Amino acid sequence: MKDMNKLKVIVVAAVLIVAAIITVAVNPFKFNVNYSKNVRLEVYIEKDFEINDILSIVNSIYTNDDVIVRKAGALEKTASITLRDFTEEQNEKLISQLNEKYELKLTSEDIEIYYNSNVKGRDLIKPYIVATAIAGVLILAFFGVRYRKIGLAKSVGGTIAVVCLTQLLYTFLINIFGMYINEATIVVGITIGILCLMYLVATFEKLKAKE
Amino acid sequence: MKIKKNSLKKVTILLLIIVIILISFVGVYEKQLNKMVNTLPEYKFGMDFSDIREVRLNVREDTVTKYYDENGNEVDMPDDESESTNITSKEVPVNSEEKLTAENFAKTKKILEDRLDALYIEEYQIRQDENGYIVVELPENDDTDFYVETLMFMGKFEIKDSETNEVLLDNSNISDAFATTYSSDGKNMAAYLIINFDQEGKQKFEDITKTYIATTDEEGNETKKVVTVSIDDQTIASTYFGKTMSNGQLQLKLGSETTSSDTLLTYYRETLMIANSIRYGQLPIEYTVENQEVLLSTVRQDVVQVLWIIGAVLIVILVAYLIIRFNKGLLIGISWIGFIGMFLLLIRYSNSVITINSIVGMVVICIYQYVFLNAVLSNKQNRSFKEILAKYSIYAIPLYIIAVIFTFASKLAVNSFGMALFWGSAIMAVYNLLITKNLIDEK
Repeated sequence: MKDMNKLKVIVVAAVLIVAAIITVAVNPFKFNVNYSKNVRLEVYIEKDFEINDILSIVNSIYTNDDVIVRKAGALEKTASITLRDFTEEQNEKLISQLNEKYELKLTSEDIEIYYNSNVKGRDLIKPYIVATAIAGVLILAFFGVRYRKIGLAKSVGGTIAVVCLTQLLYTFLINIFGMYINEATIVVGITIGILCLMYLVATFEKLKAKE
Repeated sequence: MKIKKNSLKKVTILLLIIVIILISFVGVYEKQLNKMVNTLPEYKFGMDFSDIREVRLNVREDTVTKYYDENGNEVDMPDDESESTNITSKEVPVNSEEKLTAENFAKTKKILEDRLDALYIEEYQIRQDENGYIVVELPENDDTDFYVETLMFMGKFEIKDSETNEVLLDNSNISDAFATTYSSDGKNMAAYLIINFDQEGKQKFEDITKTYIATTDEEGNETKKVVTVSIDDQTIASTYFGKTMSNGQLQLKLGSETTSSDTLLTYYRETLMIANSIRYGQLPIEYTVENQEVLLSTVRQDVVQVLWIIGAVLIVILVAYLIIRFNKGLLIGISWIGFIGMFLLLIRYSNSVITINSIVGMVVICIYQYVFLNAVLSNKQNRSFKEILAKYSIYAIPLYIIAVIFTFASKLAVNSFGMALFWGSAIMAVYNLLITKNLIDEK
């Protein structure tokens, strides 16, 4: 029975690893508009405006699913629109709707266009590497010392395996559901790791108490 | 008598919790200039929720005129025509084709990152495309102009013979550079640029200090051999040496001595900027600022309001669950809200910066406190409060380790998460021992 359970765990883990590798290889991670290659359009509105109004105009014109609209400049009368891409036709529509709403006489040449390259994935991960590695070593040392009677293979090896598998599962889910990598992705992954480790401590504490 | 005493204790604690909740969620108001102003410290927000400066740096594509003597050596621009007979000029690109490589683009980005890191800027973003075009996002505050200036230095350091313009020492021999302040008389302070040279540079510098000195001939005439120290071709000092310096350290006073702390700070910042620009090497490619723009926070008041409402509804649902399920559910529910209020107050007073990461950390702590309170109320094994607290503290050891290590990280994304976990864990221990324990009357 015990061997059967072990086999099930190994099979599930293997399937998960293979599935995660395949999905990431076939379907690379998608980054949100802020982190991906994007274009920032800037339009001087000349008047006070509400972000929501600009956002509704932008959403009605551009087919992007991920847009950032914010005010720019010291006077706060410039609208900054960050999107993945655009066409000339869309920009003309934008100008015509802005002219209509704010009674302006802008032309599409009044749109300043700034191209931004993507933020590198490694630049996002880099700040976490040292801290996570140090914390990881200390946590494993804690598991190794406190649960040494359970066996190092189980306490330390098991912990590494479980945390890696949950992270793989998280990666797999991000990918399979087409979720964007955004400002919260890494910290949510770390939080999942923490919860997983806390659950393992609770489990090992029970095992320790039994012994 | 004992029952009365207990009731009084509970009422007092409940009142205390209500005060904490009111202070944290409503504020403490004071009349200032005919306006009611909340005197609690404001929350501090990271770049996720505040204004940023977007700085666009373009690779220079223009040309400069260079002058060469009859031997083909580069010389300074001639002052008048008579000097220019044997001098030829040529227009050359600021950045030659050979310089514009992926390796140099990457090196430039790394140097800029090092400069910003040296200024302890906890949060910034640098994007660079395949043509070397750079977009830097910086937090918008009083120091942003200073940060931008730091980025713009080429970092070209030279010690030259003032007469021949021969380069005696340059960036390749610098091992470190930093800024410091020092007072020679205990009253006046000055900013100093300290440059340490590597082994080879140390020897070269020693030779310079032996050669570039003031000498007096038999007739009493003093002759000075002078060197010029320049940064980005701008002379910052012309000097000769009074004694041989074999420690490989050049100390330059930048600006004058002052008793004013504001003036000293200005000198120090300029010195720091120079030190940072040469410390990490010269930029291999010259850039120009194409555009700078302040982009206001993306946080919209209407969205914030909706989030507050969602948060409040979730809290009400979770407290309602406690009330329905447990006898002491109401008391514990109030205690939990008090905990959240206390945690938010601590975030304000500890100057913790609110980022998306710190919000995740705060949510984790609040949920863990809720789970703990549930365990206290359900207490199937009839354990004491302290036993349950100890048990849950052991479960949270991985969280404590991460909290402490992350708190010391240099980047805001990491340390704000660590801070939230750290302060949350600390307040959890104190709050539960002082408030929750007494509220549910546990020994």
